[in-house]
Order: sequence, then structure tokens, then C-alpha cells
Amino acid sequence: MVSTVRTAPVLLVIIAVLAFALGIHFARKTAPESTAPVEGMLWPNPPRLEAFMLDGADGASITEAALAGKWTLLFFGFTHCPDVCPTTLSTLREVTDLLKDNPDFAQNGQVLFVSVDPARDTPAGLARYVGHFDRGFRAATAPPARLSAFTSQLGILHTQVKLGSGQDYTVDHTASVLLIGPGLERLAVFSAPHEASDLAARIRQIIQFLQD
Amino acid sequence: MKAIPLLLPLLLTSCLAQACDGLVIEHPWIREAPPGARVMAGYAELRNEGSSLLVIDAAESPGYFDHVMIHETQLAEGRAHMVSRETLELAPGATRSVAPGGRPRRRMQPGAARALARRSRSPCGAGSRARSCSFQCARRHLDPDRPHAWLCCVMAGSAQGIAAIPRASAPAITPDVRIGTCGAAMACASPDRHPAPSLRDQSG
Repeated sequence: MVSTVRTAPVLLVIIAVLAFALGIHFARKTAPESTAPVEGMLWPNPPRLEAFMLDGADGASITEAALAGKWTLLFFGFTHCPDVCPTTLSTLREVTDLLKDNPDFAQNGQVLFVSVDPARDTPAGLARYVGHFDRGFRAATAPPARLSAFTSQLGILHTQVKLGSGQDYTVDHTASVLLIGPGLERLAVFSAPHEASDLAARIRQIIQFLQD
Repeated sequence: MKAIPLLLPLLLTSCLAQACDGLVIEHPWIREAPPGARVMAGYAELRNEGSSLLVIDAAESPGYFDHVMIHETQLAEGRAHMVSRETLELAPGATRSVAPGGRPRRRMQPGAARALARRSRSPCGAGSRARSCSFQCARRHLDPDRPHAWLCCVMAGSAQGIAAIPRASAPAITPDVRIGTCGAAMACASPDRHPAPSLRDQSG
């Protein structure tokens, strides 16, 4: 009787320690990663793209359906942009070249350039502009109300800034590249300045991470 | 060739002492203009091999661009913002790279600048004593299989560029020219006489 009384607390402690250790083990095994595996990746709860409609360069509308099933690199700019826009589009061309050996991106990757200057950029003009960088690039814009509905859901800022005393203006805009997943998940936001090899490596990591 | 009549009056003013003495411009380049683009940026490495501060306060590209401005692209909280710069200052021995895309500025030490000078084409090197400095801006075509894909050499460097508005008839922007050049000129002022008259004022 005395022996039972003495050993009971010891057993309880052992059981508690074992339970605690098993709990930690299974928690680690089943819980999702709490930190983003790649810099810029919005994980574990990437927001989903909401419905939108833009005017595509070929005259047809571009909606969320055009992005479904694709890995889409999304960039915002305007054709009167002398520096960041042509530089980023050149970089994206390099990125798509670097990702040609990635089966997922090679088959289902696309670049969509969205003009935040619909007053000066027509869909047809945008097609010629992005085709200069890569014939496979797509482009779109929309009248201000539809454009703002799209940019605001993505956190893209764009503001007209007057140049001098005339009517000319430039547009300050977010220079990030966004990665939209095949399920319309907003997977990542890559901040400028962009380096092609770095961007390609991060996109590879994200695709690999989602497949594991 | 169109540049000559405009540049000639500038060269005649080379007796002015302050000048661009010591200014070396290396690796200047400009991207092939995409269809519809009205504004392009040019880039270069600028080095002051002289003994006094250089202030670049004007730029032009006669025959190719209607207007040339000195700009800086600033990236703040992910946004690109284009800022007009009145001048670019170069301390003696300093090198300033103007490069695309708002990349971080890189300043070189005089030692590094001397190393670069050995492979410089020095279109307006030290001792020219010219009031302005003309140089050729090279365009490179990296993908001969794709005649529409004019790309450029990429320089590491800073966030400053020279924005230029191309003329509608600019001959160097035709897509069937694989490698071309575009003339450009820069003017410098001594700090004590700044602001100097613009190139267009002098040539007129």
C-alpha cells in the first residue's frame, strides 16, 4: 500500500512528460509552416484574386478566367515610363527564359502587363509595346473605375504626377511583380528592384514548395 | 550626322576655363525604344578625372531627341517615383553610375576609377577643356534571332538616368538596325557660375 502511494506520483510525472513529448512531435508533424518559405511569399493563407475585367490587347476582355490554371507574373506600369517599366519587362523576359527548364512554368507560365495610364495607353498600343520585349507577353488596361477595382484589391498604388506647367504627366506606381497561382491565389509580391536570376529562383522555390 | 551643326558652336566655346575638364563618360547606352514609347532613359558611367568639382547641368541629343532631362528614379515603399534633377555633381576622382530600374547607387573610390580608365574609350577625357562633351550612346542587340527584341547591356549602378523624348523620325530607332548609335552631349558648369546657359541657348 505504501509502495503504491510512493510510485503513483512518479508514474504520473512520466506519463505527463511522455504525453507532452508526443504532443510536440505530432504538432510539428501536422501543423502548417507558420513562416513564409520564400521571401515575398504570402503563406500560409494567400488571398484569392477576386473577379475583375480588363480590356485585353487583342480587343477581348481579360478576366480572372484568363489566369486560372496559369502561373501569372503580373506587373503594372505605362508605356510613357522611361526607366522602371522597360527595365522590368526586360527582366521578366529574362525570367521566363530562365524558367524554360521548369515544366510547370514553361507550360503554364505567363506575363501580364497592366497599364495604369488608360488615358494614353490603348489596348492595341499595349500589344505592340509588350511584344517588343516578348511576343508571348500579354497586356491589358481598363477605364479608371474598373482599373482601380483591380489594382486596389492587389494593393497596387498609382498616381498621376504633373510634369512642369503643361498637360504632360508621369505616373508614380507600385513597381512590384506579383505571382498569381493556378488557383488564383496571390502567392507572392516581389519588390523592386528586380534581378532576373533572383526572381526565377524564388518562383522555382514557390512552385516546388506548393508541389511538396 | 545631324549632331554636327549643333555641336560645332559648343566646341567653339571650349576656351571657357571651367568646362567639362576631366569628365569621362564610359559605357553609355540606351534601350531600343519599344513601339509607342515617347520617353526613353539613357545610362552611363560618369567619372571626374579632374581636380575640381564638376556640375553637369544640361544634356541634349541633337538629331535624335527633342529634349533631354536628368532624372532620378526613387523607389520608396515599393513605388517608383521619377524625380527631375537640375544637376549631377561629381567630386574630383568620383565615379557615378547611372543605371536602370532604381537600383541602389554605387559610388566608386578613386582607385577603382583609375582602374576603369585603363579600359575607357574616353570620348571626352581629361584635358579636353570643352564646355560640353559629346559621346556616342551604344545600343546592343543581344538576341539576333529576334529582330523585335532589342535588349541592352545591363549595368550595375545607381538610380539615375537621362530621360529623353525621341523624335518621331529618329533614324536610330528603326528596328532593322541591329547596332546603332545616337549622339548625345552634356554640358558642365563650374559651381561658382551655376546655372550655366543651356545647350540649346548656346547653339541658337
